Amino acid sequence: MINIKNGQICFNKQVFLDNINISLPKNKFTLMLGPNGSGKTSLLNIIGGVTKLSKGLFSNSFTKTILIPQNTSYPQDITLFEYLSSIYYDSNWKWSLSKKEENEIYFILNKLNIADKKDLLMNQLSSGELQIANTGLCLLSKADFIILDEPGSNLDIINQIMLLDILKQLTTQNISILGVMHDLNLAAKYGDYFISVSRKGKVCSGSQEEIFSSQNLTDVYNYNINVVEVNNEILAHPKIK
Amino acid sequence: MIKIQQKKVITITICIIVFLASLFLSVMYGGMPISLKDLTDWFLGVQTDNAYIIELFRLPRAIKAIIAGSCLAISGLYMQTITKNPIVDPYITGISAGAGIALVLGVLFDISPFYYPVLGFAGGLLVSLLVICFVGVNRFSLAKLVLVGISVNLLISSIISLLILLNRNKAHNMILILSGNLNSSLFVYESLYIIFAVIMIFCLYITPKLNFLRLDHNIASSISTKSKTYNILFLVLSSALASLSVCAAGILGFIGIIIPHICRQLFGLDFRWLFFAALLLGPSLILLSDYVARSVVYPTELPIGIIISILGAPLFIIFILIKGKKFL
Repeated sequence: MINIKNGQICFNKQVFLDNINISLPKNKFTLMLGPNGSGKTSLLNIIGGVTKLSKGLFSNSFTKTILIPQNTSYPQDITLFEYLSSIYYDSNWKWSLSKKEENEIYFILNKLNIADKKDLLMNQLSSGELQIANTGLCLLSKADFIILDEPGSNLDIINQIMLLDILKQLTTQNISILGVMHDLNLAAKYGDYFISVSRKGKVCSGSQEEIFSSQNLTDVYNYNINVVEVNNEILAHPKIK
Repeated sequence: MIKIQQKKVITITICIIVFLASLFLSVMYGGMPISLKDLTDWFLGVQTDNAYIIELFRLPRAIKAIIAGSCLAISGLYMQTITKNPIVDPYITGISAGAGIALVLGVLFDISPFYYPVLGFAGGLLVSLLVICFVGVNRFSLAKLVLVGISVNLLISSIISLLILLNRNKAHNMILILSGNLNSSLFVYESLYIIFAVIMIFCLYITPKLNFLRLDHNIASSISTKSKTYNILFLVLSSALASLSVCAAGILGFIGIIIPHICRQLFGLDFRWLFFAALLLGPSLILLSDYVARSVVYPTELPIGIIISILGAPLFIIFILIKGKKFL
């Protein structure tokens, strides 16, 4: 569980986000929505424990949290397999991988559909594949709370769906996930719980019904957005003039 | 997978051969030619004049070269990995500057050359720890470290230049001492060996951790809360290694930059291999340069630092040109 009470985020003594009250449910797929520059990443950093609230209470009851930032550097000159194996060298005197660890990496590679790329160097992979690789790191890290800043930004629509399916499936294995998502329709389909950060710095959280209303989304994006329900699927359409 | 592994084994075997060849060259050739028989004599404990030469001059010199070379190469490897900056050298935290000013002051105040190695070691370690403290352990950032390090290096090297300019009669000695050499007689041999052995065992213990720290800083610190502590630990370790190399052979530039690069090109970013590659190739370059330094203008001995650059720079450029397409 993550709890934030009366949180406030300031930059250079200027209030950026105020009155943040969030409690994230356990074992759910939570998605964060909001326009660029509204403060989603700042909020993620607070939740991930990278930075601290300027004011207010924050508590994290997960045993291990991992946060994958939006832009990360990748070591060159190693293969995808070696990249994923990096995570096991966290202990000292670790001169070789055990068979079990190797198998675990193969399992993850297969699960993410990148097993055929395992011997390619990191600079030969596309940026989408690199993002998937980072998700692989999350799965290997044994974290029970995974925070992903725009995990799907470089992925094609099929890979986005594949990734979201995997993440959704993880929530049944005692893992909670928080991600930033810009595709409203996919978000509505996959998310269990939502946080919206509006352009004016208002933070709301709630279930699908609470967040996905035309009124709320229009407020969040400061743009006319129409939410309709077709065959039990929620579709959000920005009005294009 | 197996193929890659085999290639690495072959490459490391070549590295071992290069190392042994340069060790052989450096022990066998010098002012007094030494035959293979002398070598076996020494090995079997037969007491001849040439066996004495091996035991008292050639071997300590080779060991000093090995210590300096491996320390510099590994220190450079750590420093470049931790700062994720390919043009950083082991002296970035101000070791060369600290050691340099200690040595120059040593010449200025007529301190016996006997103490120079210890002087260099102390100066280097002191300044580098000072720089790391400046940057601060709590609000530590790598960019800050590199910038503060460069500034301190610049500041101290201009003081050194000033000292050299102001003391014309001692300028020659000062410049000579700054370019590094292997013939300093050392009274701290045993302690040097012990410190080297202890540090190397610690390196063996901790090096695989770099395979984890090669991940993005943010991801690494998110997975392990201790990753920042380990970054600082590696910095201190690498400063200690570089200071140790100053103790053994004075200030030798270039090795700490090129050897890690060559190793990375040969083995990729797997530190389990890189460590041993650096351990073999660093000393090889120094041993070879030492051989050249002693044999080119016999009986004068050229400063080894100069030979390393003359020998190393073209080698490195050729290496980059061959590997060109792949390079960074």
